[in-house]
Amino acid sequence: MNASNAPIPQAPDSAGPGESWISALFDDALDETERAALKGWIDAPDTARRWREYALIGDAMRGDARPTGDFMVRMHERLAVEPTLLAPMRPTTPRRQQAYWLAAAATVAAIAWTVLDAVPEDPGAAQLARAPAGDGPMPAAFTPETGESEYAHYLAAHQDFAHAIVLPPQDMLFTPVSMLEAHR
Amino acid sequence: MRAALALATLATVAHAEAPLPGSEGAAWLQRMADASRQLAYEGVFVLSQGDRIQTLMVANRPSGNGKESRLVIMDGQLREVRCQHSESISLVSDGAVTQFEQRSGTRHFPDLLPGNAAALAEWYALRLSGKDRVGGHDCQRVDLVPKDRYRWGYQLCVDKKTALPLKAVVVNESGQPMMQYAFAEVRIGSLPRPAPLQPAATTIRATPGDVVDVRQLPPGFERVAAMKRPLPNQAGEVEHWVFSDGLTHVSLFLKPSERPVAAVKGNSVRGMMNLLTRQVGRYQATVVGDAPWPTVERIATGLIER
Repeated sequence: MNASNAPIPQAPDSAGPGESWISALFDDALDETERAALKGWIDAPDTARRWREYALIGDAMRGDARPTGDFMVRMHERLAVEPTLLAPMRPTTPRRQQAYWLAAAATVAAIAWTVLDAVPEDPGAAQLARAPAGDGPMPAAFTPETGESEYAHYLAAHQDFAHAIVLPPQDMLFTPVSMLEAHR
Repeated sequence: MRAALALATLATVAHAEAPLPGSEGAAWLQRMADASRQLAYEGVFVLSQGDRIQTLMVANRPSGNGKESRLVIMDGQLREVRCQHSESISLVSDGAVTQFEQRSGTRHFPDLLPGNAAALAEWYALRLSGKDRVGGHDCQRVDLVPKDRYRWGYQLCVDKKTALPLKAVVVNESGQPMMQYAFAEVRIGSLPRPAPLQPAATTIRATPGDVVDVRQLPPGFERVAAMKRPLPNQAGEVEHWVFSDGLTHVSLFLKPSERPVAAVKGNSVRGMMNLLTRQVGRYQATVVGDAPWPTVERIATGLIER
């Protein structure tokens, strides 16, 4: 870390400089002036404790030492909640698959209306009814309890004849629809 | 003089965008289809769908009356498709174990057009829409514009010398891209022999007799395959039929269903794939295809148990 060009920040509780300065100190990235300005804070007991933790983290990450006590537990807990940053990115919405059926249920009415609207254009084709509820239990292939869904295998088998590229399952949205009486 | 030049330019553009006469369009279709099978080539292409991008390697060489090809997905899980004449297998590997599975189709980009591609001229109007450069090759843009609402449009760019498709964009009725293939680089010429096919673990059998009737098919579509096949995590076999106009494919899966199930509609986020599952007599029928919704709906709602 190179913090030597920045003014020394104070922690919100005024107990001492911020965490980045401990890191800069640990990395030997401070010049003499900065070290002098921090002298009182460096000698404080709390700084010594945080310094030891930095040393332990460095050793543990390199595999040079196996710290005792609850340090490793606490470190792993902290690491577990830290995001893995691969590249700077904006926050993203949760993956669609997790809320799949919720989203599908919310759009039932709109889609059913769309289908019905298509009927007069092609009397030989569209035969779905307005009622959003299904006629029976949901097919096993499309229930959220099935885990690895059957439809993914249908899509994979279909790709034998199409483009040989299998679409990831989360790309599909499903909606219960009703068939007209004549087609049940 | 300037006005005359402008008029001449306008006339050229208008001519370029006018649909080709039927016979000329058919000739273009056939030339592009033959090039993708009869030429030897090797290259890397990119498949993009919305915000997703996949990189694939493809190699092809003519073999007798057919072709031998290899398609390798270069991102994510190791997956490969090998085609030899009318046989095809896919290989999926997790690094330690490789699974082989028999496939039924032998076509993949840039081999998207059927053997009798000229017949597609009945369902698509062809337009030459300008020049471009793809994968280091000069190419001619050729648009396949559907004549009805039962198929997607295609915008191709084909190598000026060989007519090999170098780029293909699948577009919806508004002309919006839904899926796109494009070579990043391609070498057209002689190639080493592709790896031989391995014995397949999955067997696919022809169906002995139809259990349902399809009362209505979209114009130009016909059944091109019917088989029984096992699917992962499923007891017994499912019946798999395929309908196609040569370019668009729709599958029908049939399996016995002990109790009636509700109808379910599915569509991919970007709209290219559509699906409908419904009860047909004692069977659960699932119709799925890389086709507009009216195509899937028309086939699915016309099913009746024999």
